[in-house]
Amino acid sequence: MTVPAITICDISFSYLNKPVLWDIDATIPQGIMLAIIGPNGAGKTTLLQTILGITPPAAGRIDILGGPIQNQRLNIAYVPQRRLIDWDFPITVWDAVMMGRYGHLGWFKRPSAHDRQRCQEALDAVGLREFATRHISQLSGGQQQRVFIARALVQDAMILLLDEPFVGVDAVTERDIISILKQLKNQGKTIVVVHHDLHTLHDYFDWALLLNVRLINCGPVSEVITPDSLKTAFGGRQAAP
Amino acid sequence: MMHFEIMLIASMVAIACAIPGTFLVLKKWSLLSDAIAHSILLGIVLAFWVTNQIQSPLSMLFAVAIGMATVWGSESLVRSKLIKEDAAIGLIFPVFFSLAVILVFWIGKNTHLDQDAVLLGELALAPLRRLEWAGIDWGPVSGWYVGLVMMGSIMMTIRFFRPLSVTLFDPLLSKAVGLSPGLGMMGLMIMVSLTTVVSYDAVGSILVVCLMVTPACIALLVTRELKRVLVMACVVGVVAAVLGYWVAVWLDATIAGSIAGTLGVLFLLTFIFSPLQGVWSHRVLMQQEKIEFACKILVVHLYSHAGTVIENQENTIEHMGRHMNWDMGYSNQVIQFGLARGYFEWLGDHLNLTSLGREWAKSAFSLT
Amino acid sequence: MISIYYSLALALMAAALVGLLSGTLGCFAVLRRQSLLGDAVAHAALPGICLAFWMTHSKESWVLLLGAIVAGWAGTLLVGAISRHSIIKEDAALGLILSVFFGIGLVILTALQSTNQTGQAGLMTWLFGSMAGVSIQEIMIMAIVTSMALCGVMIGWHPLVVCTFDRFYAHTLGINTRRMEWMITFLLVVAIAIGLQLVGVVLMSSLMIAPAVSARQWVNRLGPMVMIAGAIGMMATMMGVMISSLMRIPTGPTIVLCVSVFVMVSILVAPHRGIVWRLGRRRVVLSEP
Repeated sequence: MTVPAITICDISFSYLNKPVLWDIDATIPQGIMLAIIGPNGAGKTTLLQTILGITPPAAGRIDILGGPIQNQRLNIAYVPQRRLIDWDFPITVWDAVMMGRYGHLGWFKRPSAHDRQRCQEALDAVGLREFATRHISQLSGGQQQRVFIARALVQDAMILLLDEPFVGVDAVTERDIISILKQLKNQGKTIVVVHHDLHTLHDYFDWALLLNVRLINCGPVSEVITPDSLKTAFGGRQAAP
Repeated sequence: MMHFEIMLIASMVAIACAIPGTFLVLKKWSLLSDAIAHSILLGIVLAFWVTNQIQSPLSMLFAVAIGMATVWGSESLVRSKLIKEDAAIGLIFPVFFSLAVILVFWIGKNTHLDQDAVLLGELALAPLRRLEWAGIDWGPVSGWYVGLVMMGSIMMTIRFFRPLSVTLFDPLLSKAVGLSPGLGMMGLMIMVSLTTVVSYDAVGSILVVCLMVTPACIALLVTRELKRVLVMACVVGVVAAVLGYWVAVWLDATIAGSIAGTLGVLFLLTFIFSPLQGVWSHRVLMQQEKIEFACKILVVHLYSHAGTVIENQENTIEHMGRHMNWDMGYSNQVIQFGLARGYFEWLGDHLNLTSLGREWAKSAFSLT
Repeated sequence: MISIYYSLALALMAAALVGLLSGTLGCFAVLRRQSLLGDAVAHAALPGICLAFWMTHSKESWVLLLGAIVAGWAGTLLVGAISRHSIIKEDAALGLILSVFFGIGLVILTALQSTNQTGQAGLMTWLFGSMAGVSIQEIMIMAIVTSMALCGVMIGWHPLVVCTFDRFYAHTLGINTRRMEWMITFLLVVAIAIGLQLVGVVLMSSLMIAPAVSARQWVNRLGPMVMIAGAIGMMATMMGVMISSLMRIPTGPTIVLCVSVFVMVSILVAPHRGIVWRLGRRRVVLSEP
């Protein structure tokens, strides 16, 4: 029995004394693709940030591969929402992707040949090889999303967390991204995605975590996504226990 | 008499600044006051060159023109997408100000435009320049200028309060009723420019910024309703003006600086002790909210596990602390809170929900 | 005769160091949208300088420098505390701290003047800067501080870049973002304090912003941007000192005007981003058959 990728124990989080996440208990096994689904304001991004250790919860704790996140930083990679990125920042595609290696590099070391090779491979994997020297603002929406997926790839992490990666990308890019993610899953990695589109759930994902401040269900998509559970989640009121 | 005149002018400046200042702070444009206060010197110097007077209708005209130019220049830079807002502001006003300082230096060699007075103003000298007309001494000239602008600002704000608030704070609504959102901003910038230029001679540029931003901040720590904030900012400004003046007399220092310092002290006191927003009460409030929320979590936890096999195990204090990831001290605080409120009670070494606690747990789920 | 050239040479060396440091570190302030923090820190430094003089009766550079750094740093901490613990936003906190500290500084300044303490006259030059009275000791201090700061930037380049670009992502990589924030802010405070004597309290912020903004128009990568900004800072400050000395006008404003010329030129004619350049291209494209 392999250690679960992410273990969430009794996580609660409040903002201005209103609960954003409440008593979330879930175990996410390794090697699956999981979608975090819920209405707006359900706490999806907060859950992601709590998993990443960016925001400390009011109660509860999260284990990554059996240990606290501080010990597992190299094993978890984050792809933030596209709208939060400063596109005018002076970096090229190559620079952006190389950032992913900084976790391995630390303060003093310069990027080695191995680091450069990983970047090259990641750019090939997302199909952006020719764009390496372009500034990040000179890309289309889909290409921009691919850059940050490449950045997550070079981290060589076991777990990838993506926040709404399919918002505002074209259909071709969406297909390409899904195929990359599926390849990673087949290599044994765990992919967690905050997802907004119910229609593509069954095709893209194995598991779903349905959330509306409280956890409604977490498990294989067919079990979790039922008419009743969707009504509870999106019905307009918070879930009762 | 002179004391009174100086305090009167200072108070009028305070009120004249507090009004546009409140709007600036609420719109997060506080630093525009800094930018305009610096840029306007160029207008004053150019007007001085022509009229040989620091304060004149021409200087007011130039000041408004340069004030608008500063804002327009910053906006154009931002619109070009080459520069961000904060950098754009920080690029324009130093240029105007530098040109002004160099001009002051050149012109000032032959006349009495003092480089230092540019920043400090010379409130102490204000009573010396008097308005004489029809053989009567009508009082200090600056007083009249400031008084006029102050009355103008008050009347404009009262008369146009609704359009002003709507265009500034609700652009969608203002478009719906046919008012361009830009009108409010333009009106505000004109007010800021005029106020700055008439206050310049008396109090210099830095105090203008201080009087625009600080009283509004102090008022916002105490109340949130716009009209009350405006009134309170004016009151705070006047109090600081009077107190500051006497501090300056005592220390034999610049009046403008003393008023600024007084405002700083007033702000510090409000910041710490304000019942609504003060750091002290804020902290206490936050702590309490945190503990209450944690207790809620605990109660819900007890509720969910009630009647299950693991109940006796789960409800011990050590287990709970570990489960919630709270240290012993914090767990104790939370439990004491719950016990005091009567949500649960001890049964041996584990906690049991009371009926009050059960009700609270159930009600916790009907929050919106 | 020689002494005039000597003091000019010293001033130019100081100018080069100040320009280099401000230009380089200013990039980080601008990219973090903290351009106006420099203005607040510079104004907040005034009471520190005055108090340092008052307590030690010495106008030694390093004493006043220390005062400037302490006061500037205090100002930054207060701005942070105010915006974190109350509803007052950062821009209002900046305006408040800037004007209150500066006002207090002026009070101390004028109070010192009226008690007729000898030697305080020079303090007024801190308002608009002056190239007079730069000594070899001061240049040594500047050189040491500048090289330490630049070394720091080079050593910590990776975490610095990531933190500046995306603080949350940096946190997920395991970088201690709080420590980085402190360090960056501290370096900015030091850079501003160093430049105050030459440029003055009122205009120092411009020297942090303008070279960075100019450099950004010419290149698309952070490394070259920092280097070009340092070079522009250096050139503009030295130009400013030269012109100020030749025309006998105040130093600070002259430096600001020189660096602003660089900004204007960059915004207009830099390839790909420059406004005039873009208009020219459009005309070429439109005129093609």
